[in-house]
Amino acid sequence: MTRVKPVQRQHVAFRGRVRRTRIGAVGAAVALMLVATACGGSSSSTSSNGKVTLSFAWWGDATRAKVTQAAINEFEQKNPNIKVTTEYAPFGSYSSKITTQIAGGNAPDLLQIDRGFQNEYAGRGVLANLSNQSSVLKLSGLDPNLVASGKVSGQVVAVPFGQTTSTLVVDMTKLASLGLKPPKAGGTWDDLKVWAQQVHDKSGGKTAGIADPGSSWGAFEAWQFQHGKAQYTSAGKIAFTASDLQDFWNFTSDLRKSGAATPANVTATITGTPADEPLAKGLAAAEWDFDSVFGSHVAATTNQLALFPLPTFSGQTGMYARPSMLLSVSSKSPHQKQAAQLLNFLVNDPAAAKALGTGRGLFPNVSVRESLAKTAAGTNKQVYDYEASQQSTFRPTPPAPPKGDGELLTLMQRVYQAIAFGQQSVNAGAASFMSQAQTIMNQ
Amino acid sequence: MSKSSVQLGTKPGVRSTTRRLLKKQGRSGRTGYVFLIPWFVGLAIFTIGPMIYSLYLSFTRYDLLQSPTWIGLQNYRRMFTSDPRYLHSVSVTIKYVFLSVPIMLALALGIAMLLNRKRRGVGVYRSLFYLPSLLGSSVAVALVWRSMFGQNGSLNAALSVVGIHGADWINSPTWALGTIIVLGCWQFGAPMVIFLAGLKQIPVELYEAAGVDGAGRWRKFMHITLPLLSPVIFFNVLLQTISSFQAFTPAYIISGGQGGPADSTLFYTLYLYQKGFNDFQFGYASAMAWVMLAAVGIITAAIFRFSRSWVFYGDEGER
Repeated sequence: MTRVKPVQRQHVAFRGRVRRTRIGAVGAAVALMLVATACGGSSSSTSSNGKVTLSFAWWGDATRAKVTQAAINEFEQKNPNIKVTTEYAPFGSYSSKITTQIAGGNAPDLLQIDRGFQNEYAGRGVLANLSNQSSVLKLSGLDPNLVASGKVSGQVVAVPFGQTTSTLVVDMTKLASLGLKPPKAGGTWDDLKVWAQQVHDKSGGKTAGIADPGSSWGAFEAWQFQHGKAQYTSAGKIAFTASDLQDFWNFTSDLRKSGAATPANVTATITGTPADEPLAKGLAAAEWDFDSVFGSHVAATTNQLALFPLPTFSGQTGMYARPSMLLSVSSKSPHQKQAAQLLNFLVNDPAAAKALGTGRGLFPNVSVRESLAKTAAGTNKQVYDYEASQQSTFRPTPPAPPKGDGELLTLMQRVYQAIAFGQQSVNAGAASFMSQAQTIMNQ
Repeated sequence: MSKSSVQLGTKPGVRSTTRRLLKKQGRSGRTGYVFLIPWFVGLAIFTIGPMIYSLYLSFTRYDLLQSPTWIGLQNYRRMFTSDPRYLHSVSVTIKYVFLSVPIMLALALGIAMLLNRKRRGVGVYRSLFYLPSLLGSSVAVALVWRSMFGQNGSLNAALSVVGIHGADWINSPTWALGTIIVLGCWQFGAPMVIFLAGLKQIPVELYEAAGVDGAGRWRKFMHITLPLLSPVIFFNVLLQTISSFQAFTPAYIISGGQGGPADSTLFYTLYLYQKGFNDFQFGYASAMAWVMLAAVGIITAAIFRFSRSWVFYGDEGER
C-alpha cells in the first residue's frame, strides 16, 4: 500500500472537502430550481381580505361577450366582495374546452351549458345540486315549464339562462333588392320551396332561398314534431327512424338540387358563428336558427333582418319555448354559494336583463321580461314581438334530451354533408346515421 | 522505488496517477449526472409517466369525468372491426403522407440546388425560403390559409383576373385535403437547408471530372448528386415522414375541428382528438395513440431496412 505523505493527505482531504462542497452546491441548485418551478402562479381564489374570485364561462361571439360583460359589471358593483373572471369560446369548441378544464380540476365556478349536454354532465357528477342553494337562488319568478327542464332526478342542476324558439331569419334588404316578399307566415314547406325557388331564379342563381336545413338537428326536431312524432321517447330512447330521416333529407335534397337551398360547400360553413354563415355573406335569403342568436346575425351584416315562424306541416310549426342555454355551478367549485348568487342575479335582476338584452333569448324571470319588453327597442323589440306573436302556437316543452344528444348534432352535420356532396345516397346516409346514433346512445 | 513498480516497468506514482485520473473521470461523470437530474425528473414525470398511464387507459373506458373502467382489448377490437371512420382517417393520413413528403422533398432539393451558387443575394433567398418552415405549423398561418383558399379568398380573386373561376378549395371534399397538402409542402425550408449542407459536401472535382468525360447535367445529377446525397435524403425522408404522420394543427384549423367537409380532412390525430375531447372517450383515444406509435415505429423500421439498398455512405467501399 502506498504510504500517503502528510502533504498528500491534506491534499486528499482538501479535495474531499471541495468535492463535498461542489456536490452540495449542485444539490442546492437543483433543489432551488425544483422549488422555483413549483412556485408558479398560486391560484387561490380567496384572498386574505375575504374577496372571492369566481370564474364564469360561456360560449358565443364578441357580441354576446360584450353584453355579458356589461351584466357582470353590474353584479360586481352590487357585490364588491365578489370578483368575476370570464372566458368564452365558439360553440363548436366549447364543450371540449369545458371537459378538459373539468378533468384538470379547473372547472369554471359558473358555466353555461347546452341543453343537449345537460344530461351528459349531470350523469357524470359535474353539476352541483342547486336545490341546496335555495337561500340565494330564487326560481319562483321563472317559467315553471322551463325550470322543470333543468331538473335531473328531481334536483335542480341547471337554470335556464334564456328562453328561445326556432325561427327563420330572413334578409329583408336582399328580398327588397330582388323585388320579392318574405315567406308567408303560416305557409307550408311546399310554399317555402316555391318561395325559395323564386329567390334563386330572380337572383340569377347567386342567392339561394334558404340555407339548407338538412344538416340542422334542430330543424329535424321541428320536422318530427310537425309530423306528430318526436326525436326521443319520454324514457330517453331514440324515437326517430330511418324513414323519418329519409323523408326529411329527400325534401332538403330536392331544395338543394333545384338551387332553392344552398349548395353543399356553402352549407358546410354553418358552424354556429353567424358571421361565417350564408345569410351574413348574402348567399342565402333565409336561414334556420334560434331567435336567441338573432342579435349576432344582425351584428354580422348591414342588411335589415326579420324573424319569421317555421313553415308548417298540417298546421303545426313544431315550435316550443326552449331554454336557449342553461347555467350550472360546478360540483367541485369551492364557492358554490357565491356562484349561485351570480346565477340568481343573471336570471332575476332587472339590471342584468337590461344589460343582456335578448342576446340569449328572452330573460328567464317572467315579470322582469314583461316590463323590459314594454321599453325594448330595435333588435330586442323584434325578438320580443316575435315571441309574443308565436306564443299561442307553442307546443309543450319537451324534457331535456338524453346523454349523447350533443354528439347527434355533429353526426347530423357529418352524415348530411356526405349526402350533399354526393358521396352517399339519402337511404345509405339514413341507415348510417341510425347505426351510428345507436352506438352513441348506448355508450 | 519498490520492486513491484520496477517489475511492472512503470514509473513511480504512475499507477496512483492513473487511479487518480480514473477517479476524477468518475467524479466528473457523477457531477454530470447530478446536473441531469432535473431533466431526468422531467422525462419521467412529463413523458414516460403519461405514456405508461396512456397505455393503461387504452385498455379502459374513461370519460375524463369519472374513474376509468377496465375493458381489456375492446378498444382495439372496435377500432379495427366496427369503426369505419377510423379506417377512413387512416386512409386520409396515408394519402397526406404519401403525397406531401415526396413533393416537399423534391421541392426542397430542387430549390437547394438552385441556391447552391455563390450569386449575389443568395443568402437573402435562403432566409426567405426558410421562413415558412418556422411559421408553418402555427395556428395563425393555418387561419390565413383558410381565408386565402376560401371561395371568396385571395387565390380565387387572383385566378379570376386571368378568367379562371376557382372552386371552393376549403369547403369541398375534393380539394380540402389538397389545400392542406399544399400548406405542408410550403414548409420545405427546413429540409432545404439540410439538403444545402449536404450539397456543399460533394466535391466539385467530381462534377468537373464527369464533365470532362462528357456527362450532361442530368447524368451528373443522377450519378453524382443523388448517390452522394443519399444519406441526407434518407434523413429527410425519415424525419418528414414521421412528422407528417403527426400533423394536427393545419387539419384542425382549416376544417374547424370537424375533419370536414364530409370527413375529407379527418386526419388520424384529428380523429383522435375528436374521440377524446368531443366524445368523452379517452380510453379509445389512448388506444388510437398507441396504435399510431406502433405503426410509425414499423414504418420507420421499414425505411431503415429499405435504406440499405440505396443509401451510400461513401466510406464503406464497394456496395
